[in-house]
Amino acid sequence: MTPVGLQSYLVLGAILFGLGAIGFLARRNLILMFLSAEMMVQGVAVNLLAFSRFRGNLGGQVLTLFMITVAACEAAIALALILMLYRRRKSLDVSLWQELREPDQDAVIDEEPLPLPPMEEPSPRLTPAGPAPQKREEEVSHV
Amino acid sequence: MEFEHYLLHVLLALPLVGAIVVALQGPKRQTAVRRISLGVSLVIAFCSFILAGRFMALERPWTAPQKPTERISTTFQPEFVPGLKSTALHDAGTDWDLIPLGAGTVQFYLGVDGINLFLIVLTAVLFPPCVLISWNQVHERVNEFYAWLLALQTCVLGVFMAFDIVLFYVFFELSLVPLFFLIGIWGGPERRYAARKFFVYTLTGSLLTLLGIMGVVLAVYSRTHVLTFSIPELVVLVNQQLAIQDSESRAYWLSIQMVVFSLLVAGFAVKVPLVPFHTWLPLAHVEAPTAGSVDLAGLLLKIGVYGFLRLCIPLTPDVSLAWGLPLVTVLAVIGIIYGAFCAYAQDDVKKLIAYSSISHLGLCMAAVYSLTATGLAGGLFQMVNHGLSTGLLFLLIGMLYERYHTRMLQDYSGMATRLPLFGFCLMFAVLSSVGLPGLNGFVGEALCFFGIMEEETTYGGGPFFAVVALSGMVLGAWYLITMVRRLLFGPLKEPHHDGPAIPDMEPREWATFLPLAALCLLLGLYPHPFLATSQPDVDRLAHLADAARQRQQQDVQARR
Amino acid sequence: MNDLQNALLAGQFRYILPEIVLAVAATGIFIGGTFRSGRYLWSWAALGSLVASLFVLTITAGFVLPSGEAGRTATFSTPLLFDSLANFVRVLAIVAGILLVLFSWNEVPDRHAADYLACLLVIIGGVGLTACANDLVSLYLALELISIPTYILLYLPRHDDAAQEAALKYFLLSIFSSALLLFGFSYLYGLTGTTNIAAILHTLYGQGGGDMPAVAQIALITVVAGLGFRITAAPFHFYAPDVYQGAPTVGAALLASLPKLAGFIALLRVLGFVTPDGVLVPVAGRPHVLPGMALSDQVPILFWFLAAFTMSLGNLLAVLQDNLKRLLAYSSVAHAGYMLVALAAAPYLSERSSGSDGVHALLYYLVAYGVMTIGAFAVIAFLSTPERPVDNVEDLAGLSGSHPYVALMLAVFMFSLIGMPLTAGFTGKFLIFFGAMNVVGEQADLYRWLAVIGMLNAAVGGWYYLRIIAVMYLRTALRPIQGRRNVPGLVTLIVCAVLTIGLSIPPGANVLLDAVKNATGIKSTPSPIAQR
Repeated sequence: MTPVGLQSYLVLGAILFGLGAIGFLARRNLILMFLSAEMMVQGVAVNLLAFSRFRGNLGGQVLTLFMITVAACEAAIALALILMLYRRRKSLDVSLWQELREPDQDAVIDEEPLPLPPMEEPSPRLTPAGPAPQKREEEVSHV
Repeated sequence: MEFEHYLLHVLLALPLVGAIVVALQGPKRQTAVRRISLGVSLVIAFCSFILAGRFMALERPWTAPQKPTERISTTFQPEFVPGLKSTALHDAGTDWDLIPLGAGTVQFYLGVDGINLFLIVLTAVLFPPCVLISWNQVHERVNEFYAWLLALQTCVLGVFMAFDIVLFYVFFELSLVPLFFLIGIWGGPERRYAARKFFVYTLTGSLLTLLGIMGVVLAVYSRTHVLTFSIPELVVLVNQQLAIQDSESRAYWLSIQMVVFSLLVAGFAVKVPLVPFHTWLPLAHVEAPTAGSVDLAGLLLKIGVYGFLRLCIPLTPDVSLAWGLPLVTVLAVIGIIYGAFCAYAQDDVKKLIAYSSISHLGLCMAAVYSLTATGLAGGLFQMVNHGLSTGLLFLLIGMLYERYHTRMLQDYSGMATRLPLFGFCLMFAVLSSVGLPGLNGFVGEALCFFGIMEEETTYGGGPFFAVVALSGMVLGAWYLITMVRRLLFGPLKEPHHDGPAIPDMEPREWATFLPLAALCLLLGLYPHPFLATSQPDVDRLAHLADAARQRQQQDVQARR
Repeated sequence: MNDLQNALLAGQFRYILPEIVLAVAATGIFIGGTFRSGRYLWSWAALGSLVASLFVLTITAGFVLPSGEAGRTATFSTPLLFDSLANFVRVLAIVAGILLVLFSWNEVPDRHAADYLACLLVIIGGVGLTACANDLVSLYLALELISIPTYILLYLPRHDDAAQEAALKYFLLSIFSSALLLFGFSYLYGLTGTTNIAAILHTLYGQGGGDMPAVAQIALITVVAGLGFRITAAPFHFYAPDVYQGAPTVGAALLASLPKLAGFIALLRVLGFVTPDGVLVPVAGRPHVLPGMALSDQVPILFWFLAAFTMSLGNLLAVLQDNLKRLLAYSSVAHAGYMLVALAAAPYLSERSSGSDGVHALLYYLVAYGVMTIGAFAVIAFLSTPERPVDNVEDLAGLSGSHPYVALMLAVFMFSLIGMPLTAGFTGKFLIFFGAMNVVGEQADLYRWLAVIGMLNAAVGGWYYLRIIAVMYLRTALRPIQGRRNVPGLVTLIVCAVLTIGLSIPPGANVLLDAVKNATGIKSTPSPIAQR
């Protein structure tokens, strides 16, 4: 059995990166777009680890560790942002966000809209155990 | 520092200070604004006369240099330079540094020589009439109007006085801003479009000019390791380099001159304007208020020709001779004829005069690009003439427009019976413009033709161009006299107007007309002091051109 | 790891005190914001911490940097390097931060003010750290320290659809660009076996350019692409118009200034345009490599095309715009193009001391552009009210009548963006194109053409900037602009206007030019140790 060489790892990394890039450009679901970008980063991680092993030092692994940490931060913000957007449009379809574009350009009309998410089972309602908390006006205005 | 050195500062700073003072007066105090502006412009005119007197009293002999490398004789020698002339390498500079740039320094280097003196005087003289003519024409935002007018004067004076190439460019480009506002705010119905077109058109040209300026500075730097922005210094160094008899150096400088020449011409040709680049001019003239038209025709167009004299010819003599001469002469001659026919076809008097400017400046350029001493002197003289006579024409048309609010020729006829004094003034200005002997136009045009005739290059086109140019001048007489005939003579037809009868020339208008007319007469009858004063500097330019001719002949012989 | 390295690493902390001050203040404001809301309180706090940071910076800049053997070890092993370029950029970042805090004084709603200002402080710290970064890891972290708070900052002040869309677009494209950048970094690491930038460059320069493996080209392209997003170089600019238009005005001003600064500094560092002592050492038997051409000798030509494409595209598309912020976004793209001209010419100019090194010109232009563009956005923010927003160019009609001084200042910014003399924009363009014209040898004609393209672009720029001036001065208002009392906003405006003019005429221009020269003065002579 031949040992797996550096090149194979690099090719794997490049494929992951490329798949991520294609996914990022082709996907329309916000979460999937974000995950595609993360996949690109994973491709980089594979590269770095392979190089780190090949070069015999830990520099690449350190960078990978930091990358993963930063990716976690980004994920936190991404999910918060996506949640806000979802609340507004009730959909994760990125093509719904076309308000900002060149002045003389028409919005891209969707030929085949994303399938609607399956209707959720209504969650069981609990009987209220007291008066509902009063919302402050300020909060109401911004939701 | 002597008295004259302060004069240059006063000339440059006073309009600017005046502009700020006037702007701060607020739009309500119209009379105060007008009086201050008039006072400032009169003081400036007075200073310029003192300057001219002091300068003409100087002994400035010039002898052709024995060797091409001689410093003093091959370059401009500005007088009255503020600051100390530093002694070492930079005898052509001052110690008033602005911004150090690597090994070189951009300097606040002003001066007066035979080429710019009369343009400075012209600038100073044309402004009091501009202030006076706008007295009753401008009612809105009066303070801003006069502030921009005075700011424009600073910029134009700065262009003419600057002997530092970057400083020159700074004023050159800044002069667009006041005129943009003058046309854009107080102009005619199409003023916004006209102002923007004027600005962007000239901006495009002048940005390319900036590249040309950088190109020549850097070429000198890469060959001599002297980084200088002083125009006289650059002229010396460039011509010393050109005199080197070395095929590699020759080839290098030819290619550099080609680059620099095309870039410089891009800006100056738009400004003059030479024919394919002239489309902004009629529009800007028609839309501009009278004072704006006077400044535009009288001064701004001169900046273009002045740029050719100050930078293009001395810094790129070889290419100016080999390419510039045929190219510019042909364009200029086309401009003479084309401008004349366009002028004839116009019904709007202002547009007519605008096209006549294209025609007249074509003659200037053809004369300048004959690259002979006579032609250069004639071109220079004709610049001043054109400033005076076209300025007068625009002023008079402005007066007429103020009375009847129309500039269309078909609305007028036989006005000489209605406004006899005005008729006389208009006739005077037209005759000055067409070159009646005894008035200034004649001397200038004659010199221009002699120059164009004299020009002997391998092409042998001089006499031909002179004939064409001369016919252009005949055409000029034709359309201007036609205009006068339609306007002043024939059966009386006065445009409709309300209110009391239209008065003839008022004292304020006489005050606008007479000084310029007197200068026209003076230059026509006794041009000698003018020509004698500019002689040494014109000879310098001609000498540079002659050296280029010699090099060209050597090249031709070497090729055989 | 030896003792010297440990000592050097430990010693790094005292140099990043300014950033630590900012981080501590940001944390304090984040926490404090949960208890007390109110924009004035937190604006004062942020302003105070920025001033404190600037003060600390002036002290730390005086600390003696390790020299000799220790200096060499520091260069090749520590993650942060505190040279004069770094300090220059840190000062710039903090000053920009002060301007932005003043700018946003009355723009941010009370309940988000604390979070907003804390994010701003973190971004400023991130820019400072980017300038110091000497390691791919620290560079990446510093860049993310700019990006992550920016997402929040774009989203916080406004909650309408446009702002959310803008935040989303910026976020997605930013992570995409980060991934590209990281991919390039991974190859850089693979090529040289180290993440220390100085060591990477030393190794690459030692190999003598020319015969680089294809991996180096890929690394170059992905790094330039990744950073190209931040500097809005075409074709990576396409998010800019949408994001600027949708984002709150403060956010747009921030995006136009700080990420651009960070992106260009990162380019200067990673591609080796500016190198610490001892990195760019001629190796016997190897061809001499010009600065900036560490990865490939195609770097200048790459930047040549990038510059020509970026400025042409930015200017041509800006002509078509009506929305002011969108127009300024394309103008931002165009100006990135001018700055790239400086980078394209920089390698060839490094050995010609004629006054305009490409890097000098770039730094000068970054300052000039930052001042005038923050000023232009500040005018928009100053004039906009919820009842009478200033969105389109036409909304400025008649400004010269209702607000003569604000109109005058906006005119100054516009003339500066055009590049008229007596403004910083002119001096910056002059330096950049002086540099481009200064290239000699085979490439001279190429760069002359680039300069001509640049000047024609500047003239196109004249058309649309002039339109704004024309609307202000040559037209009367349909609905008069009200404006409101906003002293900090006015202060921002005045400071920007004064700087725009002051940085172009003698005292100011000389100070800035000297500062710029000192900032890159590090590569004058190789240190004696390096020559061993």
